[in-house]
Amino acid sequence: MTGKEFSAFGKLMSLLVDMEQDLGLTNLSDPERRVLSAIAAIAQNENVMVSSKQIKNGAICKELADATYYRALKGLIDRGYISVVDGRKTGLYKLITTS
Amino acid sequence: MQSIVTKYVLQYTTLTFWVTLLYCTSFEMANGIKTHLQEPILPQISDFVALVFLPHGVRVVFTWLYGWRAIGPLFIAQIFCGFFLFDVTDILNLHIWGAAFVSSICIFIACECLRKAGYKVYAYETTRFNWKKLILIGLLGSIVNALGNTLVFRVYIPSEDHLTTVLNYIVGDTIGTVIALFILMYSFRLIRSYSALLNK
Repeated sequence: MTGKEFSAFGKLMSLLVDMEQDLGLTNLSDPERRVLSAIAAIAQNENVMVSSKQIKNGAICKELADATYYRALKGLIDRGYISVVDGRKTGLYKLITTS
Repeated sequence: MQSIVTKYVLQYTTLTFWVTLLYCTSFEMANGIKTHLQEPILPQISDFVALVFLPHGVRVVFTWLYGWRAIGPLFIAQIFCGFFLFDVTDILNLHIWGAAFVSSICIFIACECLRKAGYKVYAYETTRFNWKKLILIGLLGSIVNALGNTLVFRVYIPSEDHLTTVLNYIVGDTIGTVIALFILMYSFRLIRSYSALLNK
């Protein structure tokens, strides 16, 4: 996937997650949705991998307390929305795609 | 310079491939629904209209994601469906070309109208976008599409049926957009469940 294609994928995924939430089909918390949207937005220019610092410093997640933010990240990993980049424990994340 | 051109050609070809594949698949699905459900239950609906027209959802999603760059691939996809799936042998059939033109630009026109009204509509303009707005774009686009297509096919549609055909187009395109979004949503859920399973 190229950067642009990945960005489109992220934006679409973010929109569909909001749709699921509004229809009561998923129980993502607001911080989790914010983190997911932030990753999708950042991926527009930064290709597939997004650092924790980029997510946390972005406009969407700036207001989140550290503990809430990390809980949201863990929640998204556990539910299969994002994953930690291979070979790392934390710090660099990517949206889970089919390819 | 050459590598940049090659890169853009490759990106555009990939986009065209995906749009055409999804468009034709959804076209076939809409055709199946029309043949097996719509025609037996509602035979009075014009033959030109599918009441669940899924390809409109493909138009909405790709135009929202790529803006004017989606027009070309959508036009090619519509032509492809028009000539191959319907087995139209007359390649100079102006109605098919006209319908393809209208169908490929209808969402773009709707988006540009909303932009003129001060809204940010394309995916690359916003960080978060409400899915209900996407359905609104689909609805506005369906009005443009309905008027355009009824005009293009006016010789085949009796004049007293023009208004009904326009309304049927709008209903079909809008229902198609909603159902296409649901299909996408459930497809993404499936992918996620599978990925989460693999990660465990």
